[in-house]
Order: sequence, then structure tokens, then C-alpha cells
Amino acid sequence: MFAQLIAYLRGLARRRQISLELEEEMRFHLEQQIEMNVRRGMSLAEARRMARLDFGGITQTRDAVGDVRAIWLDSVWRDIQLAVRLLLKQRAFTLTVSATLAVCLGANAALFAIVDHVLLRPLPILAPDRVVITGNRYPKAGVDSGYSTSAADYVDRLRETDVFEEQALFKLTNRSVDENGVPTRVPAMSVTPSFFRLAHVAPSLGRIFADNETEPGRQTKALLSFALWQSQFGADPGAVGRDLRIDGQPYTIVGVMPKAFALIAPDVALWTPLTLTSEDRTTHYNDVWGYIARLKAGSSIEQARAEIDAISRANLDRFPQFKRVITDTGFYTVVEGLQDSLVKDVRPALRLMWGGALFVLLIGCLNVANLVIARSRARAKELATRLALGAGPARIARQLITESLVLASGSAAAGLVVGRIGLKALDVLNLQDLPRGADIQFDASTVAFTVAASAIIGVFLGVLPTLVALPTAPTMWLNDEPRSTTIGSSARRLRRSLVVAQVAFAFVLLIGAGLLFASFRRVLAVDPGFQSAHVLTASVSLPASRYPEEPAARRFADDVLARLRALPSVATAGATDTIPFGNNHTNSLILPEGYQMRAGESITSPARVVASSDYLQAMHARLIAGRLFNDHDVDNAPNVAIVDQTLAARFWPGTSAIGRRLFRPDDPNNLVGITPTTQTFTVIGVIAPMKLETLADTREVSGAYYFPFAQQPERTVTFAIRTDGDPTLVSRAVRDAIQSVDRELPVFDLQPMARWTTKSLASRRAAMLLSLIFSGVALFLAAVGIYGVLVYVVAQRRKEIGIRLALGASARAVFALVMREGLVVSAVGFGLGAIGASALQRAFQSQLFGIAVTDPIVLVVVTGLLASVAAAACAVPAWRASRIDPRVAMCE
Amino acid sequence: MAKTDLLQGTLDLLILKILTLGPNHGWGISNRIRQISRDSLNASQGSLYPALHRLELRGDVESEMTPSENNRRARVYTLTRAGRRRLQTENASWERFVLSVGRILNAE
Repeated sequence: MFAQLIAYLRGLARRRQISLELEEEMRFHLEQQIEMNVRRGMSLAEARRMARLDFGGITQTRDAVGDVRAIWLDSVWRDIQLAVRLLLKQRAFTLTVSATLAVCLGANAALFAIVDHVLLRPLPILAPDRVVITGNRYPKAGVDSGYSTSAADYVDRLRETDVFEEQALFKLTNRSVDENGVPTRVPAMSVTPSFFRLAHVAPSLGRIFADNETEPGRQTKALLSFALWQSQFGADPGAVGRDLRIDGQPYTIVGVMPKAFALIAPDVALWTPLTLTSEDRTTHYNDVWGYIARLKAGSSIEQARAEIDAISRANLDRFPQFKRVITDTGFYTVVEGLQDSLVKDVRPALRLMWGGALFVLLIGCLNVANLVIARSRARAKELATRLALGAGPARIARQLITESLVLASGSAAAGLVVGRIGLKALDVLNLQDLPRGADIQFDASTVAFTVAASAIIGVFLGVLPTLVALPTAPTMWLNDEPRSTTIGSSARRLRRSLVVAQVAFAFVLLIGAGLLFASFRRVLAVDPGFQSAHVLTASVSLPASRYPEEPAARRFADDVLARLRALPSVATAGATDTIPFGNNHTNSLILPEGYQMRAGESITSPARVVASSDYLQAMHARLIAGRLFNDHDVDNAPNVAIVDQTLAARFWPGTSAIGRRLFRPDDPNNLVGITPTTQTFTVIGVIAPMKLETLADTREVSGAYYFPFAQQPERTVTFAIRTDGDPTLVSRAVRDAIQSVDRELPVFDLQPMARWTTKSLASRRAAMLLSLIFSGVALFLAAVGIYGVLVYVVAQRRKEIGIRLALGASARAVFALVMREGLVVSAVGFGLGAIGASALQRAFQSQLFGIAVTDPIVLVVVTGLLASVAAAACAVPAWRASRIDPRVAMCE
Repeated sequence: MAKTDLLQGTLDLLILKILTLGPNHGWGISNRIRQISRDSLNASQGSLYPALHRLELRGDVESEMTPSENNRRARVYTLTRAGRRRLQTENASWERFVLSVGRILNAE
């Protein structure tokens, strides 16, 4: 039957081509025959005549073949017409099925669009699977994430590795360019010229950087992104060779990259050559650059890892003064595929969401399958009549499959609409915050996926009734009372197991959603160590060209802060280089004076934060001991620092940290020693830990220390402004205040502090909301499934129930009888669902926070919810059964 | 020589049988039928080609245009698994048919 189906589909696809080739086929036949006749000794003319005679009329043959095809095609067309007519007649069935499938297919289409663009698509560069990224990690010092490398590593690897075809160093920065007279911050990247060779992407205009353009004096060159070229030069091809002012300095444009080019960061607007000083080139363990490399064809990541590890080991021997300290930090270098590293964090969440969508589709299909079986039972007589009238089983199967394919393609069309709208709706979950999230769109692959899924469903739904209904002889259907046959009971068994599967899947989904929901609540309940309500943030990035020295940056911040504080409705304002959840915190080595390290204990690299006076006040950080920074902690005052409780507990357990001194080691030969030039900082305050990376930071955190902005100014500045009311109301005034100090400075990330928090929770929130939606749909579908089966059972046993009632059974007993039937089915589903949920434990685990997979509250709530919905779905048909009038039922 | 026209339906059976010997094109099949039946059976092309196409649409044979000698292309037909099964059942019913007809004709 399957072979026939394939022939059927192929016949449809090839019908044009075959009619063209028929001529050729017949000509070949004639020529062959003529040849044979000649070989038998006929003259050519005679041979030709005989062959023609033998063949009969060419036209007749062609027509006859055409007839065969036409009759066949006609029957296909008739099948479709019949299917459409039938489906239109049974409007309730058609509507239920196509609505169910449309919702399920739509959800899957939307999720597929996301998964496809974020996880599945290769990066838009040549052979992306050969591009690797590395990162130095010092887990015991608190540096256990990120992909940064020292320039010295790059130099070492250029010299000593053998597995790479090309290696490149890069650094992401913010640069400022003018857009219509308004200074605008654009994401930029400084790169070694090898960066573009590594990508194997040629510029669409101009050229890439030459190797000598990293030398000082030659480095004011720029490559533009397609988008920046359009906005700055109106896509003028003459832009190459002209100047663009970047951070107030003229850069010569050497080329424009193609529209689709994106590597590492998708929204980079311009690239400039990266310049390394000789100090950069020789300083190890100063990891402030990004490093990527392309493997030679045939080399593996494992080989690359081995070579890089060998260099690291050799370096420890080359610099014995670092050996113990670095070894104690647990130093190692990760080498990962670039694509892998980009999406690694979101992959489990996305897979979970997609899995949820597939489960919903599965449950929807089971529901529809249930309906289809019920319907084919009702159609048994019609099919039997057709069998008896001489239609072969294959012919009827074809009709059934055509019907369900028509149904499925209608549902697919509706599903595409639903999916498109769904994807739009998912925008509220800030999908663009996902890695590669900006690429997400509803495109041809999504459509292809939906069509393929619906085709599979169509065939499945078509085959199903043929399995249930067709194998039996037609006589049985015609003669028997259709309600009490053995086929009836086999169909009933099948339908029951479908409902069991539905309940099981719904249970798994509900458990998942419950766990994610509970986790999310726990995350929200985490104390961030500050209060974001009423706080507005605004960032600027001071170009080194115009703010070359520290005093310039200090003066800028002071001026801006004075103006901000003077604004009406601003309570207080401060500045920092590390706004919480801003994704740019720095870890930097620090040691307490006189600290005796135990053998094997690692040095520590806590988060280093610069904070102006009033910054911690504006954030409502909680002071535990001592004082916060104030206006007296200036440049020429004694160096001071604030530590958080985590760091205080590590350095001075059990005693007060106030008045103790911290120092930054500056002697490369003795990292833990103090020299006459070593800077020291007196601890003046201890605060409760502020969360900097994410609320749900489950990794071991090594704490943080704070320096006054006036003593350690930075060029990346975020202002935090605490207002009396709605912080967005002062946005304009804040921007104006900053730009009144420096007109050329773009202001970015102008948003309430709460938005940073929301953004940091985006993928967690998305996973939770989607799983709630999915499990809601699943719950509904399962309820419909249970209800449907019981209604069917009651209808089948109507007569029997009537007899029972007539013989004196109470309505309550009948009610219990039907309830039992439904509840047994649900209970089996629960059991299987529990097994399924425990099998998926590992998938859930990484997404949970502060909660175990076996959380009893979630288990109880979910079981209770599903049980009461199942009971309600059983109760309606059971109640109806108990109200059957025996006089009516028995006379039917 | 007296040529027998083929009984309706038996042509399909013959085509399937010939194709068990290996893939073949239309001319080859008709030639084979003639050869094996020692020229006593003749499948007219007017019925051979429609039959081949019908068999293909039913999924009993597959066809493909393949290059043959002298740069010409011929449509070569191959038996499918479904076709092989059909041959078996039809073969059996053919034998039953022949037996029954024989019995009737030989009845006293």
C-alpha cells in the first residue's frame, strides 16, 4: 500500500515530463524494430513499412497511454473533490481537526523559526565548523566564563601552532559617529587584518586591511558594515577612500562589508585595525582580547587543544615566578567551536521549548487521531458498501489518505498564519536578545518545515483508519450492528491508549512548566543587593582621542553629575563603569595586605567596579559596616576601597574589614609581595553583595571590590540616576544634561534600571511563559481527549446502561461506572507521565534554579490540577449517562 | 502463422513476468513476448504502452529514461517489490483459472 502511495505521488509530480518523453519512447521502439527488420534481410523501406504496420497507429497508442494517465489523474481529482465535499459536510469535525492542527503546527512553526536561526543554521561564513574560539579560565580565582585571551597567547600561537590556517585577535568597542549631526554610539570591532581572511568573506566594495595597517600612524582606516554605509553615505560606491569621523578623528574608509557578513557580534557597524604595543605582545595572563582561529582542513579541535595546552605548559616553565600562582588558580584554556560557544547558553532552554511545542503537536495529533477513528467507525457502513461494490482496499485507502492530506494541507495553511502571528507575539519576549536573535524570521525553511510536518500528519491520519477499519471483511460491517462488533472494541482500545498517551504527555509538560515557573519565582525573589525602582541609567563611552588623560574623564564625570543632581525630581546620581547586568564586568586580581595563603590556595580575581560618590547611594546598596564613598575621596586623598561581604568573609573571616588594606600586585616576580611602588587601598566600607552578572548566578562568586571613580576613572561610564517618580520622565533632561557637557558624545542605554534586570531574565522568562502556554494547551487537549472517549463509550453502551437502570441500578452507580472508566485511563496516563518526567530530569536540571526536579509542591499541584481537570472531563459524560432514560435507550 | 490476441488482463501478467528477468524497455518487452511464445503471442503496441503506464501508476513497475546505444534514450522499466508480489498472486489465480477452464472443457 505504501509503494502505491509513492507511485501515486510520483505520478502527480512527473506527469508533464512523461507525456513529453512518450514520443521519444515510441520513436525508440520503431527504430529498434526497423533495425531488427533490416538485420533480417529486409530493405530499409520495407523494414520501415513493416515496423510501422507492426506498431499500429502511433497516434492511437499515444492517445491510449494518455487515456490511462487521464483516467488516473481524473480519479485523483475526483478523490480530492470527494474529500473536500465530505469535509465540508462534516463541518464540526473539519473545524475541530483543522483548528487543533493549526494551533499545534503554528506553535511549532514559530519555535522552528527560532531554533533554526539560532541553533541550526551555520554561521554565514565559509566552513564555520572549522572556526574555533578560545578563552582562558582561572576557576579557583573566580574566572570561569568568557572567551578572552592575552595578546601574548596570540603571538605564541602564531609562532608555535601547526593546526591553524589563520588566527585573529579582536576587541569589541563602542565608537561614536555622527548621524545627521547627532553623535551616535555604534558597536565597533578592532581586528587584526587576518580576521577577514579567516572569515573568507570579501568586502563588497574596496579592500580589507593590509598587514601593515596595524602600525601606529597607519591605523586610522575603517571598514564599514553595509548598514552604516547606507546610513552614512546613502550607499554611495564613491564612499571608499573618503573620510569618516570616528570618535572625532578622521578615518579613511577602505571598504564596505557585504550585508550578510556577521562574525562574533551581529550588529558591528565598523571595523578598525587592532594595534598591539610591544608590552601587549609579551604580557601573559592579561586576558582582554578575543581570539578566533580557523583550523586547517583535516585538523581537529582536539589537536588544537593539545597544541595550546602544550604552549601553556611551556610558558609556566618559561616564567617560573608565575608557575605556582597560575597553577593554583586551576588555569586552563577552553577551545570550542565558535558556533557552539555562541549558542551554548541558550541551547538547553530552546531545546526545552521546542520539545514542549513538539509535545503539544503530538497531543494535538493524538486528539485528532481519536476523532478520526471515531469518524471512521461512523463511516464503516459507507466504506463497507464501497468495498462490496468492488472498490479494492487500496482504492479506499487512497481515498482516505487523500481526505486526510486535504485536511492536513488546509490545517498547514492556517498553521502558517498562526505561526507568523505567534512569532510576532513572541517578540514581547525580546527574542532579539538571544544570540543571533536579530536574524530570526519566518522564512522558506519554516514554511518547508510546516508543510513537511503536516504531510507526515496527513499520511498518518489517513493510514490510521485503514489500519483500524479496513482489514475486516465487508460482510461483517454490513450484517452486524456496528456498535457491538469486535472491531468496535479494538478501536476502543486504540482510542483509550491514545488518551493514556495524551495524559502522560500533558503531565510531563505540566511538570516542566511548573518547575520553570517555580524557578522563575525563586529567581525573582533573589536579593540583588540594590533597588532598581525609580533608577534611570545612561551610558557614554569616552573616546581616548579626546579624553587621553585621567583628569579629563574625571572632570567630565564631575560636570555631568553636577548637572544631573541639579535636575528637578532627581534625588541623587552617581556613575560607574559596571552597571549590574550590563554584561561588561571586569575581574581583576587583588590581595589583602599580610594575608597568608594556604598551600595550594588560589589567588582571586573578584569583580572590580568603579563607583563615584553617590553611585552606591543611588542604587540603594546596603551598607553593612563603615561608610560609602563621598566627595572627599578624590584624586589626591588617600586611596580607599569598598568590599562586599563575600570578599570580606574570604580575606578577613571573623574580623572587621574596615581599616584593612588591599593591594594590587605589581611585581611580576612575586605576585603576592608588596614593593615600594605597589598601590594600596584602605577598606572604608563593607556592603551587601550586589549581583552583577545575573540574578540566578549559581556559579561560585568570588565577590567584588569598589574603587572611587575620582581615583580610578574609566572611559566607559554609566550614570545611575535615582528619581522621585517614573524614571523615564527625566530621560530627555538626562540626555540633554550629558550632551551639554560634551555635544559630540552619544548617549546610549538610556533606560530604567528595571529594564536591565528584565533583559538579563529574557531567555528564562521566555522558556517559562512558553512552557506555561504549551502546558495550558496540552491540558485542554487532554481534557477534550478524555471527554471524547467517554462520550463515545457511553454512546456505545447506551442500551446496556438503559438495561442496568431498568433493572434497578441507581443513577449514582451508573455515574460511578463511567467515572471509573475515565479515571482508570487517566491514572495509567499519570503513571506513564511520571516515568517520562523522570526520564527528562537531566534536560530540566540545567534550567532550574533553587529547586529540585522532584520538588514536592510542584508535583502535588500539577497532579492535583491534572486530576481535577480529568475528573471534570469524566464527570460530564458520566452525569449524562446517569440521566439516560431506560425506556428510550432500550427501544432504540 | 496464426497469432493469438492476448486475453484482457493477461498482458499485465506477461509484462511483470518478463521484467523478473531484469529491467527492459518497451521494445525489448514486446520482442521477448514474441520470442518466448515463439511468435504465437503478439502484444500490440497500442495495448503494450498503456499497460506499462498503468502498471507504473499502480506502483508495480518503475521507469526511468536511460541512455542506450547510438545516443538514444529509452524508457527502461523495472519491477518493484509491489510488482513482484502482484505477480505471485496473479500467477496463482491464473493457474487456478486455467485449471478451472480446463476442467470445464474436459468435462464429459
